[in-house]
Amino acid sequence: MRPKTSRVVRVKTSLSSPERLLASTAVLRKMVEAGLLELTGAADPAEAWSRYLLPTDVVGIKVNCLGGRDMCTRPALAQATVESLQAFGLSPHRVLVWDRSSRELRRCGFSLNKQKKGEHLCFGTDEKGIGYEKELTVYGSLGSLYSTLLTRHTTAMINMPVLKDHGLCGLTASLKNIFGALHNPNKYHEDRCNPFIADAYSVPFVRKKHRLVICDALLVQYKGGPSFHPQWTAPLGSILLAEDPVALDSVCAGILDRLRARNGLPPIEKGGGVPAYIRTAADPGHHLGRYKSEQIDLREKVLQP
Amino acid sequence: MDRRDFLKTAAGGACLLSLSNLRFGFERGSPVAAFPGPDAAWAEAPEALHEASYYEKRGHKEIQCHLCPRECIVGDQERGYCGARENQEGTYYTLVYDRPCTARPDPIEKKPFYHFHPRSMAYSIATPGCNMNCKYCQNWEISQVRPEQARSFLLTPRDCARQALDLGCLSVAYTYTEPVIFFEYMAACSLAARKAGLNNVMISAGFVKEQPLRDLLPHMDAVKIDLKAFSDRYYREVCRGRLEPVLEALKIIRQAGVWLEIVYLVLPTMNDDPKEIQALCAWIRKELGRDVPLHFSRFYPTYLMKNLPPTPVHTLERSKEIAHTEGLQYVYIGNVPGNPGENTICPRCGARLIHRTGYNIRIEALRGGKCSQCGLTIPGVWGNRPNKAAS
Repeated sequence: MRPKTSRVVRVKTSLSSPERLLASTAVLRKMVEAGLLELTGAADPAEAWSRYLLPTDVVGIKVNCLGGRDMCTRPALAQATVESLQAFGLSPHRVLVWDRSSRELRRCGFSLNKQKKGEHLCFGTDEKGIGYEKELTVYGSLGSLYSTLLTRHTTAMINMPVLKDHGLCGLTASLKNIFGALHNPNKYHEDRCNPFIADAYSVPFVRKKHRLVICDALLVQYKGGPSFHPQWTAPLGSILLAEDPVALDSVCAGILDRLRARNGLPPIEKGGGVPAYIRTAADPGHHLGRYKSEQIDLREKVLQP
Repeated sequence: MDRRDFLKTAAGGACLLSLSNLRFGFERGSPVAAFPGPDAAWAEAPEALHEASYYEKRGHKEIQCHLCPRECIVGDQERGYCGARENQEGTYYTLVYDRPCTARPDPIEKKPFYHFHPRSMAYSIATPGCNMNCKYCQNWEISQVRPEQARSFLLTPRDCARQALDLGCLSVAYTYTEPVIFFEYMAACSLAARKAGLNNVMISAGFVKEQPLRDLLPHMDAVKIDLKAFSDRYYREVCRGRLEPVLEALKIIRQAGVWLEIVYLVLPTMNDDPKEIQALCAWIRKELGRDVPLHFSRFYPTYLMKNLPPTPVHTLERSKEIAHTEGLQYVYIGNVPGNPGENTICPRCGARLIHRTGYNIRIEALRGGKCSQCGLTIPGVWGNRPNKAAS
């Protein structure tokens, strides 16, 4: 039976220097694993991973590199997750860190690896022989070609966005990260990206492959996003984990609004509340998760380094 | 953009010309191909960055595009709706300058132009991208993708004109996708084409801001506008555009004296209501004149519109009748080869001026732009020479 609430875990660290944290794979791995244990109630990380993955899965970690080196999913967080997955029993060549293009991954500091054995794979949809599906996926308002990295080359997806304000739709976190799998995201920025984001996440193969969100909120862009503007960033030193992408995005909306209020800015959504596309994702037509605070079981953990 | 700026845009292209040619020549070790066909002719062209026209910087690396009525506000590293323009560090670039994905000679009737140099060929170029997203787009595989997702090749404006001449074309046509989104390249090509004694023809949806359109028109010899419907709701829901700017563009084109033809693709149950057709025709008669050719084209299911059947021929014939009743003089049926509605008929005496079956064209009772039976002057640009002298 489906639980009545969606659990979202926020793991913080008291590590004072954000620079140290952003580069510390060891600390980040502890944060990921602590979050997993809190999320699942499992006794150890391997058991927690086994709730979501099989050792035979080919896991795609969808990162977000649009904002460049200063405002992307941090490579150290992806690396920490990869190491935890390997400890769980996934061999390196069964883990792929990916985004739209190899160029963007490289620009963000990811080490590309297309075939070297013994290390996890990392490349973009634009690599030769990868590309997008030839057949359109049509769902609601959506008509797009999806990356074959999602449709063919992986069996499970860990969604690993970075939390940012987004001038066109309010915020970008887990749900909007799926735009990086589409060939034509530029067509979906109208009407505050609504209902396009919800539609893009609702197609059957995305639902089927979605397992978990691990959201990078180490350094948060609370205004001016999705591109990087240092004057409007806040070193939150947090990651968020959830199975429910809607609930996680709803929590993220609250985080952004609090940061904005602290800096004398209006909420991301006129009049407050979550952006329209998050509400759409929760509606009966999409049923991707829950956004109301009373439906979210938010747990916070503080990790001592 | 004044004439000086327009020339500057083109000059930028000309400056790139020598470098581009060198690179093409050295890398391939052969002269420029007539037009790309085999895979070998496609270039793995590096990103073609050329600063865009018609945009303003808004601070914090944000820009606003003023090329089309969408007026996208674009953040750093993001693209506009068209996908062909990108903001890099607060400067807006077109990514498709010099980089068409298609270049080939076509009969001018394919555009379709029925009153513009019939039986001539048009060297037809397109780049990836579009500022609309029509659910029935037959060219979606190039119009609805980003430049890096299509196979593009290097073609400088001067080479474009040269190839058009080599292939015996009378015109260069900016077509297939939406040429407005490759405005800078089109501007440069149109200057090169004029210089070479060629015509320029644009095939567009007309979803463009007034200033760029006015700047472009002096360099165009003919424009065909796809009027998608006569309903703003249809524009918004089916095409992701708006009707009003297109109607304004039609008036501007007509006032500029550039030869104009209109295509109306008839979708069953979507824009084929006789009342809508009647209102459309009345508007054309009042605002543009009764001698503007209007083509009712047949729809075939494609892209996101596969749930509709092809347009029944009788719907097209009914639309044509309505147009005639409203007083329009040159009304055609398109995409139905062999239908008598393809022919040009003298509105005064009924003589068959031009007989068409698909792209088989026979000039019959048309001599020197007049009906050979009754002497009526038939509006259009006739003959087989460019209609403006090379400058």
